Amino acid sequence: MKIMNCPFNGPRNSSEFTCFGPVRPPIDPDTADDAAWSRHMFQLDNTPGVIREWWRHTPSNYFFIAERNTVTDEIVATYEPAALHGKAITPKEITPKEIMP
Amino acid sequence: MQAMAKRRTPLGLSYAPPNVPSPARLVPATSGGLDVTLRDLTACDRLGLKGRGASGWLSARGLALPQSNCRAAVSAHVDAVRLGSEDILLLPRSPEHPEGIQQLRADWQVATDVRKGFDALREETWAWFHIGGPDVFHLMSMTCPVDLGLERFLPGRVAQTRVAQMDCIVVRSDRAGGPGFDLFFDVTSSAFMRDSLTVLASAS
Repeated sequence: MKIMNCPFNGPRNSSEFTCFGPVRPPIDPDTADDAAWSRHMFQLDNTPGVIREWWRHTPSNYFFIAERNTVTDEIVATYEPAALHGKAITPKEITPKEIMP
Repeated sequence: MQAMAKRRTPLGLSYAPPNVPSPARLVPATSGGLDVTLRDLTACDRLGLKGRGASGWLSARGLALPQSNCRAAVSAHVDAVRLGSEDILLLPRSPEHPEGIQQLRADWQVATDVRKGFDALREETWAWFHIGGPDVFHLMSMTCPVDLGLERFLPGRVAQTRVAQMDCIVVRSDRAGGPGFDLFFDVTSSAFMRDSLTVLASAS
């Protein structure tokens, strides 16, 4: 069984969690053109390597941030959303070593 | 003031009898299986407050709320289970004596505070089972992924996890002199939860 560490509830089975997609910079709907808005709403980057994602611990409805390697499915780190403040919310730089198993 | 009509579960009184039931074995002693008892406390009073101002309103009344994922006594007849910073479930210390919860609910309903949280309707949306008995730890080890062992999950601990493949809040609550757990989960899955626990207790 895969274990994920919830910042609020501690280590739990992965079956208790739901992924809510990558953390992305906000977009201003008043200034974005149609193409940019459409891309924001309906398309994801599908970046290989370590990315930041929103996750929810379903039984407690607690949302948090996880850094996950999309190639190996390894959870690198989890932390409270407040930790995002003051941090850039773009995916980490990916090196070829991280991409290739 | 006109008395508020008491809310009941969506399944009505036919599901949750108004009286506090006595513990009953999940499986008869004559048929073997685990010695685990179940009390369906769904009809008993409880109060869930959630949202901005909920903890502040309770603290202003002198109730010392516990930390998150803990249960603690906050008055003579009321326990508080903190599920989040602004998500609190208030339970009667004894289901037979709901006076403290009823008074708290009445005070909250007439309070004019701008921020006092909102009623999360836990008495309607969540079933409340209490399971106990000598084999309760064995039973829970088969259906809950969290280590709820006697020495690991002490009285007052709270786990928001899964039981019987369903989201469930497990509270270590030693009632009737023995160790046990309060389970809170989706009220519409009550029959499934009872059947699942019964099958597990029978097969062991």
